[in-house]
Amino acid sequence: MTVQEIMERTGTNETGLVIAWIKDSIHLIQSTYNENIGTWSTAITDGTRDYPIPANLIKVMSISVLDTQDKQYKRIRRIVHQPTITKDNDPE
Amino acid sequence: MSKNVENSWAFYISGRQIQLYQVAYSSSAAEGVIRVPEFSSEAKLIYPNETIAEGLMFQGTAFIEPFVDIEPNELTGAGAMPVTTEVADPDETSHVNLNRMLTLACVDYVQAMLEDRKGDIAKKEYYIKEFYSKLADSESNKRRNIMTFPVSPYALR
Repeated sequence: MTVQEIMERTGTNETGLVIAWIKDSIHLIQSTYNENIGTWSTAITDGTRDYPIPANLIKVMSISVLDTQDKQYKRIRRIVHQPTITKDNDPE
Repeated sequence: MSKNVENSWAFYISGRQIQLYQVAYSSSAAEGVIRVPEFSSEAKLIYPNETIAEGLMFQGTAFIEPFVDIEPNELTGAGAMPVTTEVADPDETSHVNLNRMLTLACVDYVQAMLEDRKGDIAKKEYYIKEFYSKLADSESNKRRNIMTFPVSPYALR
């Protein structure tokens, strides 16, 4: 279905606004159901703690780390509570 | 070399970033450690202490080609699956890259937003309900659930 068909069905002629609302609805769909799943990978750097979540990722399903011994990505645990930093001088 | 990663790595989501930690079970790293209640008292969290190429993988739902150039729900003339290309700058001729039911749900969502702009909340609620109803229909179309219930020996039939 084209954007124009959606505009005709809803009786509006504001293209930009309809495209924005379609994007909103896709965002809502992707937040509710696992409709379109993707994977992104990035390098882990020695001594670096923070890694950005990919820009177009909507709902995080899992985060995995490469097990270089088994050559497989394995899901890692999520920490629910904010870690309490007792002394953080770049601990390694 | 990373091994036993499912037990020795953990993450915490902080805004648009994740904080990645390794779990150090030995007590030798007593200095500069971070403790969390999820792990035993012997476990301590440290920053990643090795570099792994392509070592971190995210999996999730995403904006993946929301608009495409041709209708994704119709076979081509030869009966082949359509090969779509993403449209980066969508206009009126662009196709929504969703299945038919979810595209109809989008129509309801746009209708709801139009009613919201008019200030008619009752109609907006109606269209939002239709939107979620179509989402549920689309999801149930993917699976066939069979529910069975045990019958009591004294049940009337």
